[in-house]
Amino acid sequence: MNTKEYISSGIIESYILGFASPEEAGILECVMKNNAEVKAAFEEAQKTLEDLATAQAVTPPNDLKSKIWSKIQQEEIVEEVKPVVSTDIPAAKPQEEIRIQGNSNWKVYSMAASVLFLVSVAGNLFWMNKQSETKQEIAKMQTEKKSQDLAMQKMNQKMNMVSNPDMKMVMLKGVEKHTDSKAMVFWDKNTKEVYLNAESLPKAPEGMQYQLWAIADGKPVSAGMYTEDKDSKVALANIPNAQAFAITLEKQGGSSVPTMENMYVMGTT
Amino acid sequence: MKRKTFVIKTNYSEEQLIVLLKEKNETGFHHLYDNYSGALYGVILRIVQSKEYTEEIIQDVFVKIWNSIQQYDSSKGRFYTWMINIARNTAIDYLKSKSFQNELKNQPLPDFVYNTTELSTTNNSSDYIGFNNVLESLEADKQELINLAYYQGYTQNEISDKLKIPLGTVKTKMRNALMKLKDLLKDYQ
Repeated sequence: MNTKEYISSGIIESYILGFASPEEAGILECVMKNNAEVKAAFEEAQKTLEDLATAQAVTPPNDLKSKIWSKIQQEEIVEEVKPVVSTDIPAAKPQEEIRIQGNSNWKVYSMAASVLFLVSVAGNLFWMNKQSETKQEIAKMQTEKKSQDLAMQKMNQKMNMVSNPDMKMVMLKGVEKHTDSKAMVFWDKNTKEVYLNAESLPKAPEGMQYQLWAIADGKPVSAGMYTEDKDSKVALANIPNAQAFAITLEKQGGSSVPTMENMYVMGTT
Repeated sequence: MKRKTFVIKTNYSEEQLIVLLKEKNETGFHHLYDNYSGALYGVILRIVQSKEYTEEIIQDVFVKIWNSIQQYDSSKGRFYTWMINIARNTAIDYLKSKSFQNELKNQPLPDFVYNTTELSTTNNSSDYIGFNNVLESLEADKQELINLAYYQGYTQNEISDKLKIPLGTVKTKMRNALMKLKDLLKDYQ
C-alpha cells in the first residue's frame, strides 16, 4: 500500500471520528511522524470538521458563560480543601521545664538546639526520601522509555512492511470458534516470501505452535511455523501461489496436514 | 446575566491559550469560551436537538476541557478538534444514556429551534433537521453518512450494516464526503 492508497483508505477520517482500532491508531500516529503527506492530510481533515463546526456555530444563551465559570470554580474549591499537615514540634513542653529550672539559660539553648536538631533530622529524612523517590521515578521512566522504544521499533518494522508497494496484504479473519482472532499475512510479490503478523492471536499453549498454511489450488501447503520473534520480521516460507492463507494450532514443530478443528483464522488473497 | 467588562480582549494563539488553561488562568477561560462556545454549542445542539439538554451538556463539556487540559496531546491532533470530539462524545453518550431515552418517550416532539438565521432556510420535511446550508448542498448519501457518523454516533460497522455497504466502502465514502465538504466550506467562507 503506498501513501496515496493509505490516505484514501479513509483511515485518517476513522481516526478523527474515533473509530480506528488501537493498532490502526498506533500505526497512523507513527506514520504521521515520518510522512509529511499523511500528516498534511490529517491536518486537512481536522480542519474541515473544525470549519464545519465554525460554520454551524449557534450563539449560546447570555448567562451560560457565568454559569460555567461558577461551576468550574465550585469544583476547584472542593479540590483545594486538603487535610492540614500537623507540625509535631512540642513547643509547650520546653517552656514548662524552663520554669522549673529557673532562669538558667543553657537549658533554653540546649532545648532550642535539640528542637533545631529534630527539625534538621526531619528535613534530612524528608530530603533523602525525596531523593530516593526521584531515583525510583528516573528508573521507572527509563524502563518505560525502553519498552516504548521497543514498541516503536516494532511499529517501524510493521510500517516498512505496510509501505512496501510490493507487499500484498492478506487479512486473516477468525473462523467460527475464534471470531475475535485476526492476523495479517504480508506476501512479497517479487520474492514470494511470506511474513506473518499474528500478535493478536492468543499465546500458544506449551508444546503447541501456530502453523501458517497456504491454500493453493484447493490443497493446503505448509507456509511455515510461527514464533513471536519472527512476527512481521522473518519470512516464514516462500509461497509462489496461493488463493488463501490460514492458521492452525499444531504440535511443536508442525504437522504435514492441518488439523482443521484447530483452525483460528483464514483469509483469501 | 452580568456582563464582564473587565475582560481584556486580546487574541491568543492556540498554543498560548493552552498554556493559560494549563495554568488554570481565568483569562484563559474567557478566551476559550468567547472563541469556541458557539461552535461547541452548535455541535451539541445538532446531536441532541434540544436547547435545554444542550445547555446542560455544554457545561459538562467546558468543565471537562478545563479539568483534562493536561491530557491534551498536540501530537495526536489539533486542540479545536480535541474539544469538538469532547463535545461530540459527551453529547452522543448523553443521547445513548438510558435516562435520556426514557425522557424522549415523554417528549415526542423535538423542541429544536429554528430561530437562528443559519437554520431558517432548512428543509423542515427532511430527516436532517438542524443542518444548515453547508451540508444541504452535499449529495444525499454523503449527508446521510456524515449525519450518522458525526452527529448520531454510529460506528462504521453499524453504518455498514444499516446502509448495506462493505466496511471498506464506508471508510472511503466517508473520506469522499469530507473532501466534498471541504470544497463547500471554502465557498461558504
